[in-house]
Amino acid sequence: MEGGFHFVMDIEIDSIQFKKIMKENGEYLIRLAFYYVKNWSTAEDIVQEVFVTYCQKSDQFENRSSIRTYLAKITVNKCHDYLRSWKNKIYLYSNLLLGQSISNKESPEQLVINKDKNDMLIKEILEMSIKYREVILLYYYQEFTILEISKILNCSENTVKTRLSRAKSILKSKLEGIEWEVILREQH
Amino acid sequence: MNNIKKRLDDYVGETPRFTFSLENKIIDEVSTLGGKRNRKNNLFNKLRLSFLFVVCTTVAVTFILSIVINPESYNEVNTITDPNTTPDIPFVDDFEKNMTVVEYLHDGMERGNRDYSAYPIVIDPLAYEGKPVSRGDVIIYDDKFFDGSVGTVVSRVIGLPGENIEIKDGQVYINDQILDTFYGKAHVRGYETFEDYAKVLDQNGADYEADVIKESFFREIEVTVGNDEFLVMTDDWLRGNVKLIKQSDINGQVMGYQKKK
Repeated sequence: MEGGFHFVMDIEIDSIQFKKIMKENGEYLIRLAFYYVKNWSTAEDIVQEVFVTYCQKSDQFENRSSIRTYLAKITVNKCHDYLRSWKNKIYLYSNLLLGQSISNKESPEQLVINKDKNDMLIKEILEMSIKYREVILLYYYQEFTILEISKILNCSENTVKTRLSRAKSILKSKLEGIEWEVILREQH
Repeated sequence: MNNIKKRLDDYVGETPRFTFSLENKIIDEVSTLGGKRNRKNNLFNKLRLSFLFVVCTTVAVTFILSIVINPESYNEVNTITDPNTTPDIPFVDDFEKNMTVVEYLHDGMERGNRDYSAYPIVIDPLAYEGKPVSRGDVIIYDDKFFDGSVGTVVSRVIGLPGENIEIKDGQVYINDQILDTFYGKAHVRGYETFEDYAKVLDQNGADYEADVIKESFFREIEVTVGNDEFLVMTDDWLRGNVKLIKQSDINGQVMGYQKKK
């Protein structure tokens, strides 16, 4: 079936390209996934699935959007799937029953470091519902434009804008006024 | 870098989370996909697929066209016709001295109008002195009946010397060609299929042996006519015979009915 020479060439070019894509995109994708699912091992699984999916469907990609947006979209969809799944629900209930520390897979050292950076802002972001958390993450953390976010989430730009302003007002109400002022000032 | 981004990154820490071991794990998994894996921008693949598609379409279209345009060549069966013979029986005008008149009372040539028995028929015994016997000619010959007596029989020439005659499914084939004439297909009493005939019989409340009648519609014969022979067959497949006779057995050609005076 395969013309031998073409086949070998394709595989090699592809695997070099593929490694490059993984190096460029792996790190921010795994961090994005973590802020969705709040669990590192799940985030690893999701990123792995994302690259496998990309590999299977890379011919459908065809540079319609930037590769960064495309991969982010796959990741967001996988995270949504996970958050909707029974696996996640069992995980949540086990947290409630057994307490946070058992299911938290952080190493003790990591826990200590994180405790040092006991950041109220991050805590509030992590506690937000996924609907508002994801627009904050995509806009401020991944620095996508409103248009790109609307494509990633399959909704209109206005929906994104509304959710974003709602998310900001939630954060503002949760955080002490001064801290929110600081955040906004540092941004400019 | 905005402040929220910085603080989110700081919270995770600088240690890369997308580790080499994870990277290798992904590469392993992807390579096991093997053949299932689609390759990007493979123009060669697309060209080959479209080429295959074009070839298949061409073959299919050619095939269909050949059937639509010329169905006979697909069947590889040609037909033989006989434009000179019609089912009509003429009244003979130019009665010659050597001709004889016979009152034929058998219904072997019945086509629904008491054919060849409604009126006396004119026989020309010397008809084949000057011309060859042709397909479709109505002739007379002497045949032995089941009771041992010999009598005159009117029949029609179907097969000429040397021809291979086959009768199947109510159709006569000559050298594998369809004999496309009124006498080339099954016929009983003016009906060409058993169903039509049986319907009429049923309507008239007739008591009949369906198997015998059906058999006559589906008579099966395969024979090669000898060099000095003719295959003759009555028009009514139920009431007459198929026979191989020699030219010398032919006692004359039936010219038509005797003209009323």
